[in-house]
Amino acid sequence: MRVDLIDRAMAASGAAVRAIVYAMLALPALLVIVCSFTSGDSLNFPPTGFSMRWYREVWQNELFMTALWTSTYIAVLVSTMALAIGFAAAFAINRFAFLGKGFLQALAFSPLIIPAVVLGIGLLQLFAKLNLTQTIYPLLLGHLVLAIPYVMRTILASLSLHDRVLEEAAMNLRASPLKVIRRITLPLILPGLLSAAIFAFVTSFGNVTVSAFLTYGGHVTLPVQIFTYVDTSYDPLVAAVSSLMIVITLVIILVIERLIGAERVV
Amino acid sequence: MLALSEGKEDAVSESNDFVVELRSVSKLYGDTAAVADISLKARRGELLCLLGPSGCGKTTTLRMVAGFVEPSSGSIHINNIDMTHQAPYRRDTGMVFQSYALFPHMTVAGNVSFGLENLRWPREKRDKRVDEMLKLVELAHLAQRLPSQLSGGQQQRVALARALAIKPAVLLLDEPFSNLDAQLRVRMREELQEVVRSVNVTTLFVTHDQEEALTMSDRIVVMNAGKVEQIGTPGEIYETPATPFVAKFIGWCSLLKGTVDDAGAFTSTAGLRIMGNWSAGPATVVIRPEQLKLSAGGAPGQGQQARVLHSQYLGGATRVVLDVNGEQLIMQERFPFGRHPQHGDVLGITISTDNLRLIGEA
Ligand SMILES: Nc1ncnc2c1ncn2[C@@H]1O[C@H](COP(=O)(O)OP(=O)(O)OP(=O)(O)O)[C@@H](O)[C@H]1O
Ligand SMILES: [Mg+2]
Repeated sequence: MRVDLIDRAMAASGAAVRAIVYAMLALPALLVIVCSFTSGDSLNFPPTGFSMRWYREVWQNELFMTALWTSTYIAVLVSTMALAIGFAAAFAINRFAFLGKGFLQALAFSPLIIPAVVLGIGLLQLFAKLNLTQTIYPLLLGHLVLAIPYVMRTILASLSLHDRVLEEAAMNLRASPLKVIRRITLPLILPGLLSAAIFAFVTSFGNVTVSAFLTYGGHVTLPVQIFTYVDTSYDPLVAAVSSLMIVITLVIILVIERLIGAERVV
Repeated sequence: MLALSEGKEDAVSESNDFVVELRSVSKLYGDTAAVADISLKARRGELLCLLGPSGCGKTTTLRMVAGFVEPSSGSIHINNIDMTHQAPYRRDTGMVFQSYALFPHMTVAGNVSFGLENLRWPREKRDKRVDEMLKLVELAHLAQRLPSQLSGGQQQRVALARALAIKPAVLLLDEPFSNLDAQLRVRMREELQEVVRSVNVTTLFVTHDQEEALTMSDRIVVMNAGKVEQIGTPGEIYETPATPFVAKFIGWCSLLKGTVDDAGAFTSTAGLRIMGNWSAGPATVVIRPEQLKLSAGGAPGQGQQARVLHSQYLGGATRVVLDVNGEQLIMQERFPFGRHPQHGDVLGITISTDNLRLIGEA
């Protein structure tokens, strides 16, 4: 009887803690989204009235729309490239013994340890030396460096869970090594690849610290643009832009998760 | 099972047409030899069994034939072509893995068709072959299922159909029944034998189950600690074991160490004498349970005095461990109901010297 009571108390407090954590995670985002529909001129909670006014403003704001476009295509580009590079690296680490393997692994994970600000300054200096600061490359490379560790980690985990005997079976059935990767390895680690893609996209799409150092006139990412904007003015426009960012991120995650789910059923 | 004839039905045993040949093959892992200097040949259509205790190098040997493990020395020939350093996908082998290794993301038909796609068979021919193979293993009705929706025995048959679909020169099987329960194992054993015979494919079969080896093989390769102890037909292996290890490993038996004197009689180290006509020198005698008989109903005072150490009721018979002149001998007998020997009983037995196997020491 007593044990039962303690059990229930524990379960209840566990649920409470979970609820609080979720609330703390979701609340700011929720708050921003709610405020973005205000019809007033200032960012207040609760919002005054309801309108799509600020979304129209965003739509007409060229700065934000270009930044949104820049952010999106950089994130897509970075995800694709990080996936290719990360898979190649993870595959090599998982399959082969070679000189400097430990070093490669440590190197790939180092961006997780180095403060993003340091990374940003370093990359800025590097590209200044190379005379490339007026291009898209610094941003691309900076995000790539940030995304690859996540991608590699996820794919490495998938690969180490992947049953190698299946590849041997395929090889025994006359499949060349490339065919084995294409028909057996990749399809079987697809869930891992897709979640790696999510990581890469989100990392790139939401980054401020590194991007801030590497953007220039034509190529400002959305988070940096928001940051710059907030510095001077503080109106519901930011809330609307931020809400858009949240929605885009969520849609990407949901779409990819649906893909994984579908793959699992088949 | 459907019979499907694919090759010449020539007599296996007499042909000298070797499909697989291993010449002094060794595999070292660091300093230890997983396989040490193995030589063997499999004739066309032959079912050759690699039998030995755990860790003796059976899987390693099979994987070297398939190309997944590169030999440290020696050479491997398939259809008289040196394949020692050839990649697995360039070898004419078909393997059934212990875990079956069916592709979980492909249907049964997709699994069987995979090898044919790699061989670039045209679509129609492929479909026909898949159908034919699934009929052979009686799974045509499950063609569109996923492997996860099959029972263990069905998965095993898909693995077999998949391996045979590409018409390999050699079929390789690594303990294909170890994941099945005892009854299914016996049934699958018969089915496999039938299928393999009907397509007349040369087969290397790995097992550590002596019964499996004795019932299925044309010839058995008995392995121990990376070496071949003996190669022979099941009869040869059982009746005339070449080494004490083979005798002990195949079937129950008692091994007596001792010497043969100038008169040709054998005396064990403990002093048990067996009359015979052998050549003098140190030797080991192999006594199978069925070579011990109760003398005149087993009453003490007749034949050799044997004291029962322990007995094990097997249903059809009782296995009894006896102390005869200080030597332990195993006997298998059917005792009348209610007269099972107990520990400490004394029986009279005779040792039949017909076909008694004596292994001289080299
Ligand atoms: N990759 C490896 N590295 C080191 N040692 C190995 C490796 N593979 C096998 N061995 C060793 O080689 C020996 C033979 O192994 P193998 O797998 O061929 O045995 P087996 O006869 O198939 O045994 P089992 O009946 O248990 O499957 C074992 O002692 C094993 O520990
Ligand atoms: Mg094995």
